[in-house]
Amino acid sequence: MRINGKNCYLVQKTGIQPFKRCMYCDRNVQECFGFQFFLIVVGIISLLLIMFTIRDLPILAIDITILILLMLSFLGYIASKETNEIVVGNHLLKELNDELEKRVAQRTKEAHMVNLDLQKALRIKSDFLRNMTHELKTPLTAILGYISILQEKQLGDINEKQFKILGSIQRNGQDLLHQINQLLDLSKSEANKLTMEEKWFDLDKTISEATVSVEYIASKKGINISVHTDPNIPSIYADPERTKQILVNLLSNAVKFTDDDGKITIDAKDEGEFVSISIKDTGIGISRENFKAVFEPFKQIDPEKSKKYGGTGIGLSIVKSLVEASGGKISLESEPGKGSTFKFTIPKKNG
Amino acid sequence: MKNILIIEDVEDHLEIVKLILEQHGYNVLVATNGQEGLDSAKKNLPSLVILDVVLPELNGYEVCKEMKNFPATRAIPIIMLSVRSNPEDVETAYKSGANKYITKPFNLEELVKEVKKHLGEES
Ligand SMILES: Nc1ncnc2c1ncn2[C@@H]1O[C@H](COP(=O)(O)OP(=O)(O)OP(=O)(O)O)[C@@H](O)[C@H]1O
Ligand SMILES: [Mg+2]
Repeated sequence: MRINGKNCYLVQKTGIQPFKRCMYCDRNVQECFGFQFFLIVVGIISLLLIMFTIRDLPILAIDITILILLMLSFLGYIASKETNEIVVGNHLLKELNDELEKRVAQRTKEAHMVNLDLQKALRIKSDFLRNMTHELKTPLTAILGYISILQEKQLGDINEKQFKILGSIQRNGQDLLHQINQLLDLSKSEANKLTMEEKWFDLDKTISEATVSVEYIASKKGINISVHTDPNIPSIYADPERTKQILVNLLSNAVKFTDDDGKITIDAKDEGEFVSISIKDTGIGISRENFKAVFEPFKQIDPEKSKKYGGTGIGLSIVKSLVEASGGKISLESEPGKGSTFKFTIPKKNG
Repeated sequence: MKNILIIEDVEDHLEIVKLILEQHGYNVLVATNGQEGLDSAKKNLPSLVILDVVLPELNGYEVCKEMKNFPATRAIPIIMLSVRSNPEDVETAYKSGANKYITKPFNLEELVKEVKKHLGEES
């Protein structure tokens, strides 16, 4: 009975037609009834035979014989019923199994389709992003180009005030370009498609180029930037543009999260196979529980403060991807209110 | 005075490149689609070509290949300019025969420097 109950439950769950279930039950009843009938007939015949052939046996013996025969027939009935149930159960199980296999195949196919859809969506996203950035860069090229032409006074003289305004437009344009490129890089790093163009270059020069790009804001805030580079550092084999991008991101964070009159120190050291570069600031700092989170895309520690400081929270995630793609590591030391030190390494020679 | 042909469909980009090159004393020819540019290159045989990638009619890669296949224009240096910065795009440009690939937005100083370099005018 339990088997049956269980089967019925499964039958309902898997949706085998109720019609089929009736068919099994009917057959079950028919077969059981046939066997039982056979046993009773045999029992009565044996009883009659015993009674007619051995009349002089005591009543008790006859009773025992009848009892044994009845027990036998009952056992036979049970056995037949159980065999029947097992046969029917097996049959049901096989059907269930087939049904389940079909379902698994169906679900696997569905999962595969979802996966394909997902891949397609990701591709559409990165295609869209790429096209979008191209569309953004076209007008930006015109804006920055015309500004340069005016700044170089090629079309005539301009006064000091106009020159300053052009400088502001240019910086804002460059900022916009930087944001566009970061967005493009984020989508590339998501797709594991960050590319490196390695060559021999002078680290000193790259550091000073990166410093120049944050100098304007730093000087506005009265922040002093000092650079110490190990004189032993030879030229290294890595991607100079990417190295500069790492430095610019770390430096712009340092400037952004350091209050007026703070201090930023850049230290480049020769560490055998690696060069290590650290950027130390005297800014607001980061608490230990956020050390990991700050490297995640779109993560900003204090959303309220972030509005004041600006940015989208992708800088450090790109920095981490870039450092790792160039075979180095990045680490963070910081204490709230006491400043932060970001340190990364670059292999001297990868090629 | 050396002739430089600019093949560019974005009006403002064309204007900027033209302004800066004229400022540096070059004579500028212009074309605003690929086919027109290729015809002009074959006819005028400029000293250098500045070529955009995305162009109507023939694209920049095709113009580049055609010029490198045509004996009279084969030796003319080609500087390609494009907003596309993917390595595949850069590679396609060099495979098509470009002498230099510069991504937009370009730095005017860098552009002039490359022009001079490919004209053999480096100081
Ligand atoms: N030098 C630092 N001092 C204090 N907090 C920092 C510093 N650098 C990063 N952080 C924290 O880590 C967060 C993530 O930094 P990240 O550079 O990824 O984003 P962002 O600077 O806010 O925006 P974006 O870089 O996209 O302009 C910052 O919002 C800030 O909370
Ligand atoms: Mg940042």
